[in-house]
Amino acid sequence: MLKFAVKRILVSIPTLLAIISLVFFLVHITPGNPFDGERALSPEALKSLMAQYRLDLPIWQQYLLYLNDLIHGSFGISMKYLGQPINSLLFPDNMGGFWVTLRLSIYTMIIAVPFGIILGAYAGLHKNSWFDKLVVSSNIFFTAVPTMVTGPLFVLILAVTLQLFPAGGWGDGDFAHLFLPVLVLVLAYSPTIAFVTRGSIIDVLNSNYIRTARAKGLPTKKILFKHAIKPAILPVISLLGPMFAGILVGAVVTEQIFTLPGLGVLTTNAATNRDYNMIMAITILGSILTIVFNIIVDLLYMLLDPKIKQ
Amino acid sequence: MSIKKLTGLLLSLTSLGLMVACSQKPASDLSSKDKNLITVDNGDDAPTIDPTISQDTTSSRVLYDLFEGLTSFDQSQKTIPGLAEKWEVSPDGKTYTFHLRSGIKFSDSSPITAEDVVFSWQRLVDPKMASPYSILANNLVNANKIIAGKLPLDQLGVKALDAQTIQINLINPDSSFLQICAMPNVAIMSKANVTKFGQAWTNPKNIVTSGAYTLSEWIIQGHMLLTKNPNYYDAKSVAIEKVNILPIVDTNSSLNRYKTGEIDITHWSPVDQYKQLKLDYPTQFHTVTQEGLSYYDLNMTLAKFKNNPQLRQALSMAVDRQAIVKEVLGQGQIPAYSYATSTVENGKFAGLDYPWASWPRDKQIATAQELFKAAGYGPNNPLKLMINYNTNDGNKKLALAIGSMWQQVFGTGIQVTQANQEWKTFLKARNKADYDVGRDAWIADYNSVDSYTNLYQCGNLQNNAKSCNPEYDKLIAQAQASQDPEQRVKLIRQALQLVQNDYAIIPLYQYTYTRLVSPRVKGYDIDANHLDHVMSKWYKLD
Repeated sequence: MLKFAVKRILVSIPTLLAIISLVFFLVHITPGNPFDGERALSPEALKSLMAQYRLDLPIWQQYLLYLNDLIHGSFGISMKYLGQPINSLLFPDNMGGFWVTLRLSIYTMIIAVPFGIILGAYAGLHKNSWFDKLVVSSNIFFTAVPTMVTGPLFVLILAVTLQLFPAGGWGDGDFAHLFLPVLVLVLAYSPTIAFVTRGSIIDVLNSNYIRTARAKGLPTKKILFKHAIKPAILPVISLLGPMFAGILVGAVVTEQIFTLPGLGVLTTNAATNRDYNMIMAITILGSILTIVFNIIVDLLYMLLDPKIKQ
Repeated sequence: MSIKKLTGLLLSLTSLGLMVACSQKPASDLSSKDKNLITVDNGDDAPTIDPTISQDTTSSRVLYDLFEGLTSFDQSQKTIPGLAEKWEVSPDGKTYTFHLRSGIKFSDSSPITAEDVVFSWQRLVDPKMASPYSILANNLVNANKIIAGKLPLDQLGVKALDAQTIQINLINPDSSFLQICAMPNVAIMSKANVTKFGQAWTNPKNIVTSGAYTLSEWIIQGHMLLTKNPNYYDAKSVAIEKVNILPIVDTNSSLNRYKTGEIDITHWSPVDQYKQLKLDYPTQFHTVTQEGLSYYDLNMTLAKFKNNPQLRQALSMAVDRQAIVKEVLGQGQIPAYSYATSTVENGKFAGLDYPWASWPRDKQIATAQELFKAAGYGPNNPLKLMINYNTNDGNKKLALAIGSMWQQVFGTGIQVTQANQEWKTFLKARNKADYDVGRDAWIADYNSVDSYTNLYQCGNLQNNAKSCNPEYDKLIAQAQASQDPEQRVKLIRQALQLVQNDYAIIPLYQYTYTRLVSPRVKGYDIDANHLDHVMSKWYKLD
């Protein structure tokens, strides 16, 4: 298994390098300059800034120097937050940036996963019941209604009108400030988990070995917990890895609605301000997270499914 | 339960929620809040709090709290003594001698000396700093040569005569120089502190300030927490201990947090809720005329505009500014018919409107049509124009409205299209004069007509229309060299009248800004604050 993990990590290095190269060149050929603003800079000032950020060098040289920085663990200096190192913007020592989004994602997953699995399993076991229909239709509802709508709606009802929670901000990362953003994310992600679990349970329960178990007279509880749950959970696990990585780098809208100081705001700011180094850093971070979670999912698969292990 | 019933139930629950939400009155009970903490929205995060390189209004808002210059300003934007308690001006208006207040200290208790002042000014013109606001020093002896790297920093016309006295030498007399001394870019920094920490000096752990507050916490895109600076010379009149500054970009989020009492002062308000907010918060919602102009550039590098003054005038006359401010914008903006606002320098440049501004609309249209025809355009030779603007709902509405006004006035003689561009792409295109008609705007840095007159000078970096009238430049230079304030105003008025008749830009309207201020905030005279330069030391809490 260790061999497999090492192999997967080694294989992902060229993938990562390809992503870095592609994004680097795409970002640098996008029209516009990080230092363009409503107040145009004097040619001298612009020249000096371009030199400070090495943007006056030929692009291949910039690329090699960037890779060199990366190898030494540095994402470079931000072009929006002038003079501030990207590393300390993304991973600040005062709980902003990545740490905010990480906490948000972990809380979301801790609630959404068991919630989704239990709902999905129950719905699958009681196929075509009113509960099953509720799960199916709420999946359709929350997939169709994005967080852009549910977010402001909850703020309006629970924060502005009923004054139960703050309308935004991170506070100290306390329960009150986290409740609404986590609720919105749980509602966005758990229906999908429930839907996949439901489908998987229905499939497994219709399979021959379960029928055999039933024919042999095993009690339903035993069939369910001993034989059905494990195979039914496999497709759900393959979903969770990319989902977790997705929330980590993709909670942009939720973070903006609730004005949270996470990666989302940094991402949108980086794009609109042509903060080349920040765009690169967030892309690399997103890629690494996706790769790592996929490896973890594969390893879990191996643990759960002996067929794959072979 | 069938799916139909279920969907029905969900929909009714949602609409019930919405009805409950909409029927509630906004909450305004903030009485239980901490009297030593005020929370204000700043619209976005400051990209930097290094005075030398800052250029955004978001940075200025924080810098006015953290640092102070030789001079300062009060709520009516009048220049008042800052770290310098008094100054003398030489008879030729070119030499200023400032005397620092005695015993003043930075937030770390170290003394503020003339050496720190010299350091702060030199840093602005240091080519290595590449300050976007080094133009503030353009009139200082040797500044331009230093910026271009041709002279060392110590040649700048700012000298420490002794530990308390600073002499600043100008090339030309400048009636707005004392205002420049209050700008955040020339606020006084601690030489020892900046030198010790280099780029990391603005980190809350390292920063040393000269203003009413110091920076205790900064979570990027989270908040900035400012704490009262006990060493500030006027600390006794600073009423609020802590200022929490939030970077809320989304105006709806900002409004929601105001409604829940989480913030005391908003930055912007949602444009589409203007009328409702006026009704809901008659005393808390303020609409303030802002010292800034919105205009369209006509690209003077294109033959169709460059060689055709009649066409430029026709296009300007055909725009119905009244309809724009009333129907399209509707937030109290003022129609603009001149190149400087009527509020700048407290009205010294009022009354420069085009004579046709007061004509009935029919007459304006008829004259515009005649000029358009005389310019050689008509149904047989239609003019093709594209309006470029940066992506934004308001800009889009404006571009569509102006396009349709031209279409209405000139009929089949004109074909207008509109194209939006993402911000940086737009800036690049406008800067390279790669457009026909381009959206433009300018917000004045200080209460001086120079903010506007600079825009129309040949070769000025902000002259996006790329127009040039040497006569105008000559008059402005004369005005700048003049020591007689009345003569200066006369020359500038003459210059503006001259350049307005070039019709290189189409002035559209003067800006307003809207803001909600909680009733518990006292001492903030927002309605007189056209420049929107604000200091937290003015506030008091009930």
